Amino acid sequence: VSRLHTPRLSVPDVVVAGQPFEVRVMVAHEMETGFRRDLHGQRIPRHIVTHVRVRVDDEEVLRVDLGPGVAANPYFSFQLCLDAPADLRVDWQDDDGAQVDSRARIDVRPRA
Amino acid sequence: MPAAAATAGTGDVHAGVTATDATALARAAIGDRRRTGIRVTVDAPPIAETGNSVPLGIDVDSPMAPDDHVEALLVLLPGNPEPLAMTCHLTPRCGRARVATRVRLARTQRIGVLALLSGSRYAEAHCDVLVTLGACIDEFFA
Repeated sequence: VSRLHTPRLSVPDVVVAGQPFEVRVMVAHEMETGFRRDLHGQRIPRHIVTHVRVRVDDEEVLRVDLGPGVAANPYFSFQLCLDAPADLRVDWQDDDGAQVDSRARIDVRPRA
Repeated sequence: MPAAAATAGTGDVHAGVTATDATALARAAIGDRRRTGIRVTVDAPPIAETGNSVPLGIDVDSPMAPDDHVEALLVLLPGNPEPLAMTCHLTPRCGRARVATRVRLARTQRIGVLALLSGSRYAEAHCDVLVTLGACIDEFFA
C-alpha cells in the first residue's frame, strides 16, 4: 500500500483554555476526479482522498468525507477548543488504501 | 439508494454515491428535519478565473454546545457531475462551526451549503460563483 505525501498540520503550540483556535491541514494528492480522459480517449480512473479524521486524545472530533469536488492537494481549516493539553492526530485516507497521519501536542494555558 | 446515504453522522456518505441531483441529495439529507433561520455564512469569490481551486469558507452561528451544535456541513455543487463535494462532520469539541477548504467548480453555479443541526434541525445558505474557465471534466461535456 502506497503512502500519501507530505501531510501538513498547522496549529498553535499553546492555546487558551476554552477558546476556539484554528487548525489547518493539507496533503499532497492529485484528487483525480474520474471524469477526465487521456489523449487516447481512455477514462482516467478516479483517485481521490476519501476521508480526513481529526482526533483529540483518541476521540474523533471532526471527520470530512470528500468527493471529487474537492480541489487537488486538499486543504481544510477548522476550529478546535481545548480545556487541557492534548494530543492532536490527523489521519488521511484515499480510495487506493493509502494512509498517512500527522500529530501535534498542544499545550493549554488558563484563561487570563 | 445513494441519496439516502447522504444522512450525516452515520456511515460513509461518499461510498458509491452516484446521485447527480443536488436537490435530491439535499432532500435526502434533510429528511424530516425542521428548518431554522440560524445564520450560515458562505464565503467564496464572486468570480473565479478557473474552477480548479476555488476557496470556500463556511461559518455557522452556533454555540457548539452538546445540546445545540452543528452535526454536519454538506457542500453541494449543483453544476458539477458529482454535486456532493464534501461532508464535514462536526462535534461540540470543535468549539466553533467554521471551516474552509478549496473546491472544484465545473462551471458557473450556485454553491449550496446545508448545515444539519442537533435537535433535528437544519439551515442552509448559498453563494454564486462565476467561473471563467471550468475545472477539467471532459466526460461532462462529451
